[in-house]
Amino acid sequence: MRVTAVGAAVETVSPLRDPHRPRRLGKGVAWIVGIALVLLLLNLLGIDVRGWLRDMWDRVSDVPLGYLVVGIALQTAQTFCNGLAYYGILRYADPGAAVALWPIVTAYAVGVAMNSFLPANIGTFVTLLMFVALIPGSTFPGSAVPSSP
Amino acid sequence: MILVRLLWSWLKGLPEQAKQGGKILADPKAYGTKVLVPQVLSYGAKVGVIAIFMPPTRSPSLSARSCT
Repeated sequence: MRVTAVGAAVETVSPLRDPHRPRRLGKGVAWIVGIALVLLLLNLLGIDVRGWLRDMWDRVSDVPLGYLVVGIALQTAQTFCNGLAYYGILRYADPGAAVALWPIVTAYAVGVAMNSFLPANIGTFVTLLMFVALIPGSTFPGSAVPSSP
Repeated sequence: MILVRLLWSWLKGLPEQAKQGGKILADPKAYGTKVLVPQVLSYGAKVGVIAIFMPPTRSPSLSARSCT
């Protein structure tokens, strides 16, 4: 009962499987605003979030703009290509399943982003859970095999 | 005992599910076009990112940081 209630709550706030584009975008914006509020709260509690952001901005602005643009483009291409490889594997594993390219690329990008600040490759774990959520009938071991080194 | 049986039945299914995920490895042509080519491109882009950001990291402030 409790699990069902939690599942329903997650489904309500999750942008996944929501076919309504403006509502999906609204949820995305709500997440960003929520994260900003958490950062603001942390700053008010005495954690130097502003200082950390300023330091990061200083380091980023040290790099010439042209380098940044090309670097971001190549990093995006790298992430897309890895997501594309995942898509190929998952689609081949179950040709009958409804596997779409962009959700797979997005799930992979989310994992990469989370891996950059969370320990122990938690982002990869999240990516695999997202694959299971996105592809009907898929399993965790089936999704985990392609991610093994 | 019931728990062991449940666990065993769950574990028994894992190799089959894992095999399903690795099915593409049995088809070299599909693996080459759908996995290897994107991976090679991805590797190229990764090397490109490193090459692009290498000159700025030679700046004195960051070089000093890397020495510590």
